[in-house]
Amino acid sequence: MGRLGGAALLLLLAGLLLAACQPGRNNVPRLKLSYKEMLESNNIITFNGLSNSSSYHTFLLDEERSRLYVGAKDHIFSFNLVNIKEYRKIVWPVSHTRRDECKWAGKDILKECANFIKVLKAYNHTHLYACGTGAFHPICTYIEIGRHPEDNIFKIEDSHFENGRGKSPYDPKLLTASLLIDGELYSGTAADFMGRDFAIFRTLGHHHPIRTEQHDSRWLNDPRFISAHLIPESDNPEDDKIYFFFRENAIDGEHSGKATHARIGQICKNDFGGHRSLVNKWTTFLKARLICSVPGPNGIDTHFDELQDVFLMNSKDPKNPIVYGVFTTSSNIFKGSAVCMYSMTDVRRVFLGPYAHRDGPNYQWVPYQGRVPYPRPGTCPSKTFGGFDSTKDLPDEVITFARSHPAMYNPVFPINNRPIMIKTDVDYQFTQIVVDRVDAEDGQYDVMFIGTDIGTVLKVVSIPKETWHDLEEVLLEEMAVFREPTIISAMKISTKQQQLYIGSATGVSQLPLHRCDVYGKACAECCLARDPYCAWDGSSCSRYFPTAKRRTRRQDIRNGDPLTHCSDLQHHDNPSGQSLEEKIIYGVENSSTFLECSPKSQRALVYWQFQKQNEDRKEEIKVDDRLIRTDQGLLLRTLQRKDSGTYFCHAVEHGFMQTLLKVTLEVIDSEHLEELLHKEEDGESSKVKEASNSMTPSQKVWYRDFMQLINHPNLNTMDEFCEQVWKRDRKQRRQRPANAQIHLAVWSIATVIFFLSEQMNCFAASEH
Amino acid sequence: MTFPWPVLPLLLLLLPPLPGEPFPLPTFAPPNASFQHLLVASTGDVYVGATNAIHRLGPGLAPLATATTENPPNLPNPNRLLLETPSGRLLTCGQRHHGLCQARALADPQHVLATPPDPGEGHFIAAPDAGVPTVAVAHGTFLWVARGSSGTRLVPPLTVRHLEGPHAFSGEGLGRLVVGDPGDYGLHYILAAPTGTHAYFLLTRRGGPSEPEPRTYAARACLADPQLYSYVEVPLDCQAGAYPVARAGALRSGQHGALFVVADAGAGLLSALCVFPLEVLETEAEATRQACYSHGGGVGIDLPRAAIAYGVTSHCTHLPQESSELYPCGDEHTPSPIVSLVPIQAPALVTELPQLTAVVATEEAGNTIIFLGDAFGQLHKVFIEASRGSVYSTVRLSQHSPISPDLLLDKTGTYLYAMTESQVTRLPVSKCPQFPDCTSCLGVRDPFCGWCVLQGRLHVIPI
Repeated sequence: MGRLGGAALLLLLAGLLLAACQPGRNNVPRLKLSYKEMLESNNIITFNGLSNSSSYHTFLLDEERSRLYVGAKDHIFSFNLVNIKEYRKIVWPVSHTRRDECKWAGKDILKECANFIKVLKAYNHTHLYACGTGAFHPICTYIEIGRHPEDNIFKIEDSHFENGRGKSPYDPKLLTASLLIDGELYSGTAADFMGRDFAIFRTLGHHHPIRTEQHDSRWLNDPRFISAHLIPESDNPEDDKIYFFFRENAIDGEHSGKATHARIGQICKNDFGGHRSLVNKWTTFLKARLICSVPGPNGIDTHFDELQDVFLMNSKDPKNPIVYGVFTTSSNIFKGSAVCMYSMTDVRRVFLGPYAHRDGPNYQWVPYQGRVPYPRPGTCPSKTFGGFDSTKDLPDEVITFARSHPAMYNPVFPINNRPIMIKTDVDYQFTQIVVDRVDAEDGQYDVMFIGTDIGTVLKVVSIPKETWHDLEEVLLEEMAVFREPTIISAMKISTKQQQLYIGSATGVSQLPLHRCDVYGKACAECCLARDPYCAWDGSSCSRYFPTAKRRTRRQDIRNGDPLTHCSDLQHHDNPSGQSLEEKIIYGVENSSTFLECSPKSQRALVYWQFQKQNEDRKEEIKVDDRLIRTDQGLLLRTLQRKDSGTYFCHAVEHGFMQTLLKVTLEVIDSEHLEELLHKEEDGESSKVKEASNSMTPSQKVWYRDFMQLINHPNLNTMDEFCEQVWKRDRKQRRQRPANAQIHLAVWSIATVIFFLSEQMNCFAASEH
Repeated sequence: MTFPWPVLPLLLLLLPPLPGEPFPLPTFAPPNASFQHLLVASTGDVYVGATNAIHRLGPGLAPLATATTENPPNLPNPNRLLLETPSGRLLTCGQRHHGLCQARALADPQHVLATPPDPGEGHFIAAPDAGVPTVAVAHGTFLWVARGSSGTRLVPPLTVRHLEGPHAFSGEGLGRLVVGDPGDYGLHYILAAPTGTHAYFLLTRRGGPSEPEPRTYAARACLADPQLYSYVEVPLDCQAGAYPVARAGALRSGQHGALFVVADAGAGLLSALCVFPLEVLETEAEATRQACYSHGGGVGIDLPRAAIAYGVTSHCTHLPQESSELYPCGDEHTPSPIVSLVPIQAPALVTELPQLTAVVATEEAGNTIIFLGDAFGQLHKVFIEASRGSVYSTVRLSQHSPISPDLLLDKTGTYLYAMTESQVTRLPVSKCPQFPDCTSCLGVRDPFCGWCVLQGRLHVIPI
């Protein structure tokens, strides 16, 4: 089919094209790859865990040494970033006594009474700081890693163990958010066995430990800490703030019933607590709610309140990273996930806004209208904003106010007031996110890698449609990164290695950020992929480097329009391109056959055409009782002679059509089949001696007769076809006779029918 | 008649003999005084916590020293807590400065041995409010201190404090009773007293926001557990709940130990005395702990027996059976605070006396003798026999002022110290003047003489 033919078809397909452009379809991953497919294409490396370990949840990336440190159950690993199959490990279990005590406390010996590493941070140039649950008795120590990568040191400081209370939780199920800067550890965790005393602590270092007010639900109300980050407020380090992201129970009276709120909390790095009041407690702690919601049809917003993970995308201005948050719904019935983006400007505006105040006859939360003491609670003592050298010098009224007003009245709304991505129609939820900023031909794009609770990673790019306020999320890929479905609990991105590292309860996986070749070799395929990492380089889809300018390079992330970008190259792609499969198959009258055709892209729509024998005109196939369309192809039931002809399978995506399959079907009428079967019986005796892998003249004679019988025009093709089937058949029998059955079991019934009808045509031939 | 004291100090007054009282009783009643607390120290000396002053008196109430606690001047500073620490210091806490405390020398209360060098809210101990008693037990280097709801959330109702070291007076790293919203419970502490192993508290509180009626509880925590993991509360029902609000209490430890509780109906005039044997309290507290540690709060198919108190987010759980034995004082992994859902019942032994304010008990020749103070300055002596209390006699110590709950016996049980708003009086527990026999003793209608009868012989006590 030439270019003109293709263009004509496009016009015919106008209706289909409209359907293809519907935004809903974008929410479907363009490529969906199983773990097996990932393995087969060499795109994943998995460390499947040790039998006496688990919970590979605590990640620390060291690009300089090219290592990924992973804290797990009773172990700390140091993986080579290039290939995680190469690793070193430290065994750090708990003593028998400790384990017995834990058992006596009613805890599970395997799942709880071990040392689950929860904190793993760079301490200085030569050491890491690590803390574990220590079988419900938190413990910390230092890990020596050497000054230089080539030192190749990875060992535990056996002689030095510290109390881990306020650093690691007791309960391995709980999370800790921590940050180690200048020898001080900031951690949001539970500091007691029962998991009731949650707080944000600062420990280590020379100063007295500092924490949030204890047992005051206005400060923290059963929180679950997600992450902690240092974000400068100005160019003066005195203004540096530590931000904690967490979710917690909504404060009583704010909502009826039990509700969760996502929060951002702030503290000043130079907060040393109050002098008489709030002694050794934060005096600059403030928190605000993070909203991530979509308007509902009935005016009630659907809220995504269960904050799961946060990623900070750094920009040139270190004061203003973009905050990416992954949220899920609180409802058990309505499962949904969303990604929201926040700007630090909005966050700061909320912290400078009204404080939440409980007042009035109904004891409601209202914005505080009275006089706010000076300096404004939440301001770091510094020269920038004047006045106070230390939080210990803060006037009593500031401390008193700060203690009773830790929450802000206004929430922080996401950029554009809505999520950049929502997923509600699936049986999984988001758990993790990392984001990479990628330079493409038409601009810079943030590519999100989203981990799920079923062991898959979604690769999503957010593309501005008209303006930056109108973003379209394009789900490029959905990849299974573990053999079994499992909750993805950790994710790190190495921009240096261009690799993604993923942790779960069962192991660690590594995969490249981009695998441009999977999209196909054609320009259109590459273009349709809309992967900012990839561009068509003139011969294949490959990694795009903005620095190397090449005329032949084609990329269109914003529109993904191959018609504009690849039209001059159409002859390379279609119809005689590598992707077109042509075959002939035979079907027996009144039996069924299956024409297999499934596009690589999940987003492509499949369109079937039929061309009768000896006719030029192609017509669209109308689905009826006999003709059934499936995701794998077309099922033809109760074959009739008139079904003989050529079938075309076209994939249409983003206005671009590609012919994937051209198959000619020959229907053998049942009368002729009778004769055929008689002939088979006659030849039974000679079967044993004649059966061999090479074709004998008699075999050829038999099916040539058969071909004549059905008056077939192109016998040569049939020869080739059968030759292929035989070859494949032999190969399969040799290689994995056992697997064949399993595969049969998992194949859709339609595929089996197809397989059988195809086999039957040649089976008879080979047995004679 | 002879005076026991060689020199009668100026302030020591001899009461004019009450009707039927032939002997003047030693008293301490300085002019314009306002007393709040009374303490009989291990030395035998008596200490009085007053507004702006701490007085040290000899066993016979002879004034030995006075310390002023007026700071700043002209602002009254009533005493809110007065006790002797195990290391032999006098701990005093005033109303001023949010109930901050000082450790003073027993011999010279003016001599302050320790005070928070840089006092902050972590050092606030006593409730400043007059109507909110603060009660405490000192053991080892720790102080178990409880105070009722007093408007501030800064100080939890029950805390453990350091008595020594750099964190003296603060609860740094020690246990505290966490109460969701203190306003929901209306906590009011009446008594804190140690047994050999535990600190006991007598308190009244509401069950929660949905249970507005207060009732009485005994709470217990191990003295070996400054983290309060072992906190258990048991409700006390005096006469099947007819007298739900305790007003005063006394704990007598030892073999026949018991908790003596004076309670009323809340607003009623008549009070009752109920006695809860310590053995029963211990058994109930242990059963409650066991139920909550290892049976999820219930035992078998019975109704729930134990629960977590004060809306704390915790649950009774299913630890190994041995847990309550293995961890007699609880541990960080055991649920707390626990409350029993099954009240301990005790019959009212005395029901005819109005507005009782104080109680103390002693044992004389195997019999329990109870002194009850009331709001009208009277002291009643009750003899318990066959589960029934009979008021044996009544003495009036003041015309207007109630008897302070600090009704104390000396170490030997010979004398009783009673305090009203402005006067401390020492009374002999059993005073049998030199009468040849009981008949003549009773003949003079000396109420104290009646005690001789119990002993079956005359008993001479010098006065």
